[in-house]
Amino acid sequence: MSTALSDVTSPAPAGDGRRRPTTAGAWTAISRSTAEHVGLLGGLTVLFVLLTLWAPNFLTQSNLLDVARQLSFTGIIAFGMTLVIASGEIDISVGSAIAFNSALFGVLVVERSWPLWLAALAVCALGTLVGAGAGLVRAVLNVPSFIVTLALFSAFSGLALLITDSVPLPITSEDFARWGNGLLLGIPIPALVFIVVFAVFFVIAKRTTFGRSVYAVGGNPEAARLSGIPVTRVRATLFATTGLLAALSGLLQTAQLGAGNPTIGTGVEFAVITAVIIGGADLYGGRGSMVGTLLGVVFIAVLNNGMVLLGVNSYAQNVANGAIVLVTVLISTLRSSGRRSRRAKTATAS
Amino acid sequence: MSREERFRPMSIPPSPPEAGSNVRTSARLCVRGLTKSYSGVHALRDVDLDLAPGEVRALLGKNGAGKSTLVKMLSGAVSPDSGRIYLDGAQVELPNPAAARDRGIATVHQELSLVPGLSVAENLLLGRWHPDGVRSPLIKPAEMRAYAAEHLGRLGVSIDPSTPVGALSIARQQTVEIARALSYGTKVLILDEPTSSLPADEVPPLLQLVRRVAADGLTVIYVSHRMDEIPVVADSVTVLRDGRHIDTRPIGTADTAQVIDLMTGGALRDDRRAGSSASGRVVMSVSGMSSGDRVRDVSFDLCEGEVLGIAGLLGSGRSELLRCLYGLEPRTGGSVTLDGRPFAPRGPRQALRAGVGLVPEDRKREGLVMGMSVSANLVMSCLSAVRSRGLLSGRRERELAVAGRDRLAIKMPSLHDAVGGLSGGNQQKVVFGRLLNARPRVLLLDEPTRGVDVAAKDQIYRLIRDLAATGVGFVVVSSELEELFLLCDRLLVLGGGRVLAQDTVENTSLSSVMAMAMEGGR
Repeated sequence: MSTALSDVTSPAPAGDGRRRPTTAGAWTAISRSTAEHVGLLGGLTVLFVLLTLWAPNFLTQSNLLDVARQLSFTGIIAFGMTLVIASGEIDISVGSAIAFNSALFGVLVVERSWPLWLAALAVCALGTLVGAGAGLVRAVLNVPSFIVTLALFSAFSGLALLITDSVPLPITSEDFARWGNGLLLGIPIPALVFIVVFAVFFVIAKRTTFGRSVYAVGGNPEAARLSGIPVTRVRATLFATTGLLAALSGLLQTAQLGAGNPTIGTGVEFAVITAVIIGGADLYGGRGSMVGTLLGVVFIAVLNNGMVLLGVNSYAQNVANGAIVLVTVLISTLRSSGRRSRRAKTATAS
Repeated sequence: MSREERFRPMSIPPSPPEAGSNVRTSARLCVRGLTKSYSGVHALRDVDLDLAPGEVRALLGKNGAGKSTLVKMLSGAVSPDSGRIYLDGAQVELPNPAAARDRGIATVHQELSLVPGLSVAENLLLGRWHPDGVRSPLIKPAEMRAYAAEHLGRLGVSIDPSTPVGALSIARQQTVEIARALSYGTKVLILDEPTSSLPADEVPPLLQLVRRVAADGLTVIYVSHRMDEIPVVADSVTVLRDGRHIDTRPIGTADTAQVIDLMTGGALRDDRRAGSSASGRVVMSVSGMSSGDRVRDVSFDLCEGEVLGIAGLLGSGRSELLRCLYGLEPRTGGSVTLDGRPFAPRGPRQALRAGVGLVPEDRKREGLVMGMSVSANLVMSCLSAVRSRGLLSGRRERELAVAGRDRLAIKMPSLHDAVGGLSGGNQQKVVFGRLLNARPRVLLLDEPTRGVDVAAKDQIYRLIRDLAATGVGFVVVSSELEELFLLCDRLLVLGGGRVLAQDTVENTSLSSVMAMAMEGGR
């Protein structure tokens, strides 16, 4: 199928002067989305400088690598969550999904003696399927995603404890442990996974019909449906995505801990949502970027690391995280209401 | 009331509204010199009105004649530029809807303002909560129910006050809304197209109810174009045109032809399009299509390059017909073929794939994703055509968007800007561009020029003709008959979901189509 509009017209000037080669196009896309996050990038830079000056041992290789490793475990979920939030939905089941996946992996490997690779594959497949199921319940039966994933959250944490009798199941494989603790080219393996997941989701968000559909559904579900976008399929796929990422995160943490543990992952859903919101995503849908989420994840991780190094009480850290979320949302609300009133002005002027 | 009686009263009105029957001489509502303009364009010019207690006044006028502006000013939603409103001889200011309601002017709009999950009694006392006006955080359900029962009883309807409003039929919900309006001590009740959303058998009870409240001395302004119900319910008619008060007459001296004459000013601009591009080849054939009681047994053929217009009043099933063809409303009967093959889309995606596109009535809610860029909106219905090797190609998207922009002359700062920042006309062009990219065989247009400036209107008309010349078939719904005459080869008049007539524009006139639509038939 060729260009529909241009063959109604006389041959359209396809070689519009500003056309660029594809790689350059990708760079402009990246620089454009970076420009959206100047504020966050600035905040991160200031934080980094301040911690370098004041926090003992902040700017050391071992500390920074440790931060990178720690943020990766939950950070990878944030990219899927960005799409979920951009579509106007929410998934609060990811934390207990991590626990369940870790527990299930432990049971399969230790009690059923499955090969590691098969168990890992099974955990990922199940995570994806359950997520897709939740998405279908959301899309077909029109149950709010908060409710669907709340139910899943509760069921997952219960199941994790049930199948393990709430006892961690040790997995003593050196090769497997490397996935959590090892380095490759001097970089922690989880951080490499994190970077790969970021890259994949960056492409999904910017360059696939699915990604485009996600933002359209989040921006205006009715218009998206009337435009022929398969809204049901998009929603189901979204939750399958977070399901898969939660499974991946569960496996990496299991590797790091050396045990299938049914009690990990507590509060991860909120840490992830926090990072996504700080990254500039709109809980009402339509907006959210991978670069922003990446910065959000790093910001939160650096901040918390800094507070630990400065010896701040860990309860106070939670308060600080809460304050950061509130401030970010306030800033973005002020900014978007400013934008809206400007737009209203231009609309009446024209 | 037995079922038979509910069907009959159309012919035997409960209180025959002879001219001036229960109209007293002293005016209840006086309007003097009411004027309003929007960005230099007069919406209402120097309008005078006098309404007596107990009078039911039908308010008529074409789109843009100033009806809704007048209603908005009387209900406090819009302030006049100049002019005065008197209620029982005293001048009143109506800065907001609450003030209008407190002074005794209540409006019941087409979209009801009830909370479906709350009971009838709670809705009646919404925001007041206490029948006796005391201020207390505790609610007394029994008192509320008694209050509601009393006010519903005055209207002669029996609705259990503890029923959730959402469980009632539209007609009964409307009754609850009227009862609520009256419970504020209303003197003037404005009903805006009250029967447009009602099924045929619910209309006579509503008309009876209006006569009943008028008999109690209430003044009613009844906005409607249905000449089948206006003589039954109204004492007099006022016709507006181009923002001016044209005439007010007792009902007995205003038949449909005269009213249409007043509405159009006699000088009918039924400009027709020059030449038709319709070929003899049928592209879409609809036979006996029904959808519930909104679309009934509709049949027509659409040829390649033909522009078919659908005329009919609000609630005649015109939008539902398009939505049904697009797979948005379930089809309950009949069949449709597209290029000779059966066409029964289960949703927009399938309809688009088969080659049928819809320009929806509500651009903001259904047409565009306002927060996304112009180019993203332009390619939204043809994402698979933008894909190359599995990924969206920025180059292909740009080509399609640039071609769309140039073809439709969309004015915008940049293709990357959010579409929400464009003017209405340019937004509508983006909707067209999006559908054209999906290469449709048939386009269904629902009010294609609503909220669009004059220049963009002409461009859209030209675009439709050019596309028709390339073989695209059009089905156009518009509440502006002039527009249909300007655009279409053939017209189909709908009333009560049925096809009342169809003919080519050459063989018919604007006034006869208008008369047919207004006399309706349910």
